[in-house]
Amino acid sequence: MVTATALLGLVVVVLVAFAALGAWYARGRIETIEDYITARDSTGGGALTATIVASSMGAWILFSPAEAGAAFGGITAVAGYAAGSALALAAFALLGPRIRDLLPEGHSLTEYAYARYGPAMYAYVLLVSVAYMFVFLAAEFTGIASALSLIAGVPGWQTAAVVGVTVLAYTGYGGLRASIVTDTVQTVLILPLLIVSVVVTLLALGGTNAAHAAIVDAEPSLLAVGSPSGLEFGAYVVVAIVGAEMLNQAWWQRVYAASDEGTLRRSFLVAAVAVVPMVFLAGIFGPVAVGLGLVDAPADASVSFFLVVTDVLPDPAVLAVAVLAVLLVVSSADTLFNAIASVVTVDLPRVADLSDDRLTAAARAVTVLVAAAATVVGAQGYSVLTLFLLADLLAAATFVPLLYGLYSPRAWSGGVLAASAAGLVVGLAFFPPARGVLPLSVLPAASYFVSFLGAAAVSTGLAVVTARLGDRRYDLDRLGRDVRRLDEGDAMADGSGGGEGR
Amino acid sequence: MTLSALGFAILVWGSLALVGAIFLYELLAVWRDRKKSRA
Repeated sequence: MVTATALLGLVVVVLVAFAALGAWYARGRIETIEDYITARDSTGGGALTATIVASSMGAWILFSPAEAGAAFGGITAVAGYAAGSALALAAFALLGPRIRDLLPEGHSLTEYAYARYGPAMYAYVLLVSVAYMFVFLAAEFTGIASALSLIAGVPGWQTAAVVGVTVLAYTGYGGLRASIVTDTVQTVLILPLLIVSVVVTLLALGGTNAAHAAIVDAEPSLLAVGSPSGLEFGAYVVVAIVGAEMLNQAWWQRVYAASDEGTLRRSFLVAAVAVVPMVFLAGIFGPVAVGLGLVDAPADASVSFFLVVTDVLPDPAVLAVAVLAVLLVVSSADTLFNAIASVVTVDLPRVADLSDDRLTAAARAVTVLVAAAATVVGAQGYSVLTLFLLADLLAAATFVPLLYGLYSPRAWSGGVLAASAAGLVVGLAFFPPARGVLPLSVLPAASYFVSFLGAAAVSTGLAVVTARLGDRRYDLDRLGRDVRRLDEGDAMADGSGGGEGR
Repeated sequence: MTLSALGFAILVWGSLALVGAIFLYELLAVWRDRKKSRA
């Protein structure tokens, strides 16, 4: 049995090593706010691919795909999870160059929303984006606290505090550059650790044939290819993930951090390929846990991965899995700390006249606040699933109208806001948790499938239709003129935002 | 259609091999980045 002290000691050693690496690398490299939140044109293919993989693959891959595999449609549902994760990254291989072309000196999606659509859409996108990123962060902290508690009984507050403080130490100091360099090393460790964890577990189970036989004996439907429940889950999870990730500032930062457009495209595509087997390998632990008879209650499904690991692996291998989980959390947490800080910081020049030094200090202060909040929430052990789904739904109703403005000069603020609102109304009407609080019993049965696909379809349709109304034309070249570097004298230009498009 | 034992094995070992290949690609790409930045 791994003791809590031994495990926490190991985690502290790993985290301190990364804090030292991040701080050492960032030393002397953070001269302006641009270095802290954008690291513009600085990142080559290896580091960019690594930071995308590491940021995308949080501790959630040890929980959600396995839960999907155990409780929401078996191997087909896991495939849906993998497809959603990959499609979101692949989409940035297409969107990224467009974003860089139209806003070559940009920083964030909210900055784009303000310049393209004006303050109302900006406020809405800011709310949805920050809500999603913070819930993601809180879920990561909750997940690692739960994982170390399961493995060795480490109290949740201790795990959350150790992770929060050490990640804050290097991210607060070194910003995006520290995040990217630590992500690179973390990816180089995460990939082999995942391979070792899966191989050792399979060997302990007696090989893939034995694992397969156990699943067939217990619940053969989990191995059904194209099962209706799995397809339904897969479809809505693809929309949920793609929508939410389009509003994840971490990717917008990395679009600008890429050394050039070719590197950007290649790195997002390679990362998209990489996450498919990673999610799949983590996901098969769900059906395996059912096959081993470890999932007694519905709540057990979400910790299937750790139930299998603690059941079949020897202590040294369990420690390796714990390190894997910590690396997954840290690599996402540093990304999200800096992403949330950057969204807030980029918008500050519009409301206050701050020097470059003060902007950097403000970004660091926001990072501290975000880290403190995530640590406190993560230590509570709340179930954040409903919040996560709600944030995903908001994003599903928003991402197409928002991004449509990158391509259509006819998209306008009132139209895209109405489209997003209508999509959200439809999504909420069929959102299962909403049925408990809204009087909607006259409608057909609620389902996540109808909710997410309805939100995305209605918002997309209305964004296109409203763009055809009237004769508005927005000059897309204005985006490049309105959005400027933050370390120039008149950063953010005059803050006038989009004119004709509104 | 239920996934056969062979299909399951191919999926699992194929995924492991792909993760391994991505790992090697990453090592090579990071090494190239460093070589380029030193040049």
